[in-house]
Amino acid sequence: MSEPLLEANGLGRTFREGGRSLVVLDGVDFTVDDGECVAILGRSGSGKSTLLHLLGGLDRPTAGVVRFRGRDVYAMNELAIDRYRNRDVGFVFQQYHLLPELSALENVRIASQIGRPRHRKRDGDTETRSTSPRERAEALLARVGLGDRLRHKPSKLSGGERPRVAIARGLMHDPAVLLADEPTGNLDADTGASVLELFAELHREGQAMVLVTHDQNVAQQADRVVTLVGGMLAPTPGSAAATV
Amino acid sequence: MYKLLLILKYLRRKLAPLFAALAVTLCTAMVIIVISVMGGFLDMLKDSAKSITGDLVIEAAFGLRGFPAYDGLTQRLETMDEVAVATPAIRSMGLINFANGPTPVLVHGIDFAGMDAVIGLQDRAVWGEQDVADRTQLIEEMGGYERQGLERGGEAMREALPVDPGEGNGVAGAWLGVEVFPGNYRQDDGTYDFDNSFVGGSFTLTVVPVSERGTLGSVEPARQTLLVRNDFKSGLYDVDSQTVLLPLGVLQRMLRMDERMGFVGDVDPDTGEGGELQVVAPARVNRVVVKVDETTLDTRTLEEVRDQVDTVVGAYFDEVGVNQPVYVDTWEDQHGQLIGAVQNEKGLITFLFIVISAVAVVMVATTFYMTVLEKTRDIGTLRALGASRLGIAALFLGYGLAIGVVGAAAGTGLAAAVVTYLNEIQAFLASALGVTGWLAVALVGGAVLGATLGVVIGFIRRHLLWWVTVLAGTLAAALFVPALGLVLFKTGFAEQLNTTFSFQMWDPQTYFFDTIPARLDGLEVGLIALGAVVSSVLGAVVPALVASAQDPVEALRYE
Ligand SMILES: Nc1ncnc2c1ncn2[C@@H]1O[C@H](COP(=O)(O)OP(=O)(O)O)[C@@H](O)[C@H]1O
Ligand SMILES: [Mg+2]
Repeated sequence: MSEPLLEANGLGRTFREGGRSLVVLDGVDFTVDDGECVAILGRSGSGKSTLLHLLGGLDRPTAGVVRFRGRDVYAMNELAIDRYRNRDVGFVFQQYHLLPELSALENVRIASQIGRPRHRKRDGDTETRSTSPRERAEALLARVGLGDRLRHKPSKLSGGERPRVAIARGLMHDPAVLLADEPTGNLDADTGASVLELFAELHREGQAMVLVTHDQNVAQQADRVVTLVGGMLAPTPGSAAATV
Repeated sequence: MYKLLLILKYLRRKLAPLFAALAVTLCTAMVIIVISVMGGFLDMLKDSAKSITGDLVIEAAFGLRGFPAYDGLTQRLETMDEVAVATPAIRSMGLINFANGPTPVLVHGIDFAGMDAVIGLQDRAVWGEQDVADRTQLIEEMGGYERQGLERGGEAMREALPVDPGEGNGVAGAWLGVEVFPGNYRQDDGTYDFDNSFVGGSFTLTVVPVSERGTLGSVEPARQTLLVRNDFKSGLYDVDSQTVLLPLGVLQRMLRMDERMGFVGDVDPDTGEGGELQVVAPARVNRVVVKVDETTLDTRTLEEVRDQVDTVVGAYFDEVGVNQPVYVDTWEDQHGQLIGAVQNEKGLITFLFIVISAVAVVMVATTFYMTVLEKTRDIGTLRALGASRLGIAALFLGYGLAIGVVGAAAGTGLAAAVVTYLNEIQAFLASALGVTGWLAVALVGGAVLGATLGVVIGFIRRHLLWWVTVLAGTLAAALFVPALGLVLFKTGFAEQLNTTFSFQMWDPQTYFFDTIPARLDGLEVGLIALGAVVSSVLGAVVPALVASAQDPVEALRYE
């Protein structure tokens, strides 16, 4: 397939704050192919989260386009963007953003309760058609090692368990691409390593993903590493595939 | 789907919705209680106001000159679909004599059966048949009316009189307004004591007749002894303190409004023969009281019926050649002042209602706004997971709806309980507040004292909850047990408490109703509950819009 899964062209984002404008992204070109794992490095404040939000349909670019399977995401109407967020991308936030009132299981399931159920299965979907959302959520939580924490509220989960729930939620609707924003940023080395192992596993299974990080260990797992500097992406020297 | 789940979670997990629902509950309950009590009060006033006027009154314009042909008139009126009953009556001024001298009264000559059909006179009787029968028998056994302790009634009362409550040779019977006889007084509980009543006693009534042409002076005042057969209570003090009811025929004779016969034609002045005995003056009344058919009033106003009756009366009088002017009034026309006050109250209630609703809306809106702020990041999360703006707005509107429904239901239940048991609550407050308050103060005071101490000690000992629980429980018990002991074993203590601390929400001695009038009107309650739900949803609209207007990123970045 020649068409990339997710693609950004000349992407720009400028914030207006108190009459001054702050250029955070300035002509970013970026692609992710099916099954590819791309790591984005960059210093704090360099615009990594901003880029990820734009890729995930959470924000609006001030310049450029984001294409998902060739379709211009921000040219779609609002409901279609909602659907894009709901079905095509999975998000794992830096702060995880689990809903505090819901149990781990409910937090994972809610992704399937928002929006209409998917009517067509995509290639590479290993789940059987008969799996109910509940069973799928339970399976995902078991998969991330939380099979015995289904009823726990986020507040009752440990620091290493929360990102796992967030990852399970991000995978719930079997997204084409998983966008994770510093998933190990708040974790100690050991827990961080085990979460990373989970991403590695998912990647081996063919899950396309974009990992934002400033952690070299994360970067090493990626097929490709890019660095965000001065609002633009540069291929990182010495990484596995140093071409954009 | 996720909306319902989240609404249920939000309702259960947070204190804020509890407060919002409580606010709705209290507002709803308050409005329903106020409306029910005021409505009950107004209903009772209206009912009282109708007690002597029925729905409509046809009244002679020139008072005591009255009008003839009233039997034909009532018959004609009763042929109308709109009229249920029509009964003739006379209203006149009079004087009655009790110990404290002559008292001016309004004398109503009525057909008791007819009046009963119009206004349910029997239901307004103060004394039961048994009481009256016992008293009558007692008087008969004594050979007439002579009762100790009624010297205050004056000479006329102490006279032994044969008991003949009819209109015949003996003494005609009369009903007094319950406040007419000075011996009757309302007790603490608002009732009257039969032993004080003047039933079976007699009094003298003086009225001044007016000639057919409406002139005074040529006739002497008429006096007659009447026997009190019962008292009646309309509920309007003005009516009950100065009204005497007696048989129409008796009053007609006293006022010379009865049928007069005379010889018409050439009468030989020497022999007194010749001529023809004829009615020279027909019997007259000065009012006809009308009860309007109830189903008619479902579709038409009383004013419309009044105007129609007016036409019928005019036509009938033209037909029979009566030319005395009459006018037709509704009971509201007759009690203009009272109705003015009633109307005023209604306006006041509506105003209060609007204020309270506004308070409810603001409360809900504020609570919601706080909730939305608190939930901003969750909203961002939901949007990131694909929830639409509409979905978020619906979530919070549904939340408002849920709070409104819960609050309104609880409020309606609370109000229904309070209104149903209002008089019991009043009785409790008036009679048992002392002991209850005493015990409650001991219990709550002990708990608060213990909790305060617990906070201090627990803070120092770093075991807050434990100390607070233990000390609050212990001190509450330590105060409550001796307090209960005092109430149970120290004689007279409980009574003293109850008499010292009592809260009289309703004083039946002041008001003329012996119970707090209150009724629950299904339609009113339904509308108020609906209003509460709508208010809650309205209160949630702005926060819901705010919540849904945010971009996902903005919401996610919210701190
Ligand atoms: N909504 C916003 N308004 C103004 N400035 C913003 C906003 N969002 C992000 N920024 C700015 O954009 C820059 C990049 O932010 P971010 O993408 O979060 O960086 P990173 O994730 O790489 O640490 C920061 O300097 C931040 O202050
Ligand atoms: Mg960031």
